[in-house]
Amino acid sequence: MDAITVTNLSKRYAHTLAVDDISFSLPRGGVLGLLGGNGAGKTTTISMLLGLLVPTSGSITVLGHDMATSRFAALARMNFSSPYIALPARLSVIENLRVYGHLYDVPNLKRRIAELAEQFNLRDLLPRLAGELSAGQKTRVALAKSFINRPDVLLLDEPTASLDPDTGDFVRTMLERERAEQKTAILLASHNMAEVERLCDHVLMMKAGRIVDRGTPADLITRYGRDDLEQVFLDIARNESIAA
Amino acid sequence: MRSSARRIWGMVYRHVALYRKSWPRLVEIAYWPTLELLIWGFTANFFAHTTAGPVVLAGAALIAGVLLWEVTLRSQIGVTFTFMEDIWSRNLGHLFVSPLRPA
Repeated sequence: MDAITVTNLSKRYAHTLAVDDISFSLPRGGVLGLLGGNGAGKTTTISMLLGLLVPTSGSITVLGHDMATSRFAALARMNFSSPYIALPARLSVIENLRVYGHLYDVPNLKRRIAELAEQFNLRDLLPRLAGELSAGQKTRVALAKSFINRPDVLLLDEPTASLDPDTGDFVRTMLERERAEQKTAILLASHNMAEVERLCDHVLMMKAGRIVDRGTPADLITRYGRDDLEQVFLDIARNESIAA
Repeated sequence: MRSSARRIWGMVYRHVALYRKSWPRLVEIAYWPTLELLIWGFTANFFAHTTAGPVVLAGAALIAGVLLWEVTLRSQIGVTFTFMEDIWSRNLGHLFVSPLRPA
């Protein structure tokens, strides 16, 4: 059974078709990259996967649960992180982790928070208010929150946006380690092509709400006759045809 | 059932943690009910000394009603403030994708 199965998914806002009949699956323990320019439909797709938006048509199954009928059973085994969604600014880091630990019914929460503090290098940040942290520190805390329930499925929307190269590399290394240790299936929306090449087994290229190409990063690079995924992305964005 | 109780405690803890470190919020909880009690208490006391019978009873009922209304109002303001802070913090997305569900 796949971690995520999406079948003929569409989302229409009034006169705009944000997501247009897309289908894909994400196996357990796999990392799937969702690529596309601004307005391609990545965030809308993630919002539907999380149950925040109701699809106009199509179906989503997460860990065997139909998101239209048993969303909460799936949500308990999922988690999400985005730099555009923050944690309560007036609570300290440890209080935020406790709140979400309780919401996700994490057993032995004290020990789990200590583990996360160690893994994400948060020990000095635990007593500090979430609102006083730098962008990189906030991202680390948000990622720690997203791993608090040892999710089987993790959705990440631009996890390294606005981070310096050192923090970005730290986050990517953390994701690789967590994936290896916990066999978490990760769906990653990103504009950082080097990150996608490094982390993803499989990539979906989206444009105007549709999946216009798919494959492993190496396959796509070979197929388009390019040196890296960024050039492939530019070819697709600028409507260049496949080389050879 | 146990999971549900834990999730409810998570939301309660979120408020407890917030109030524990904010003395203005704690003071506000007690300040307005105390002020209402004094104002209406003295008013009722005045009428109790100048009139008799049903007026005293009405005064007591008025004080009880005002205090009950103040408790309700403070609770509602507390919930609204926290909700507004969740909007300002852009935290609602995290709550909506947690397994927290309506009863």
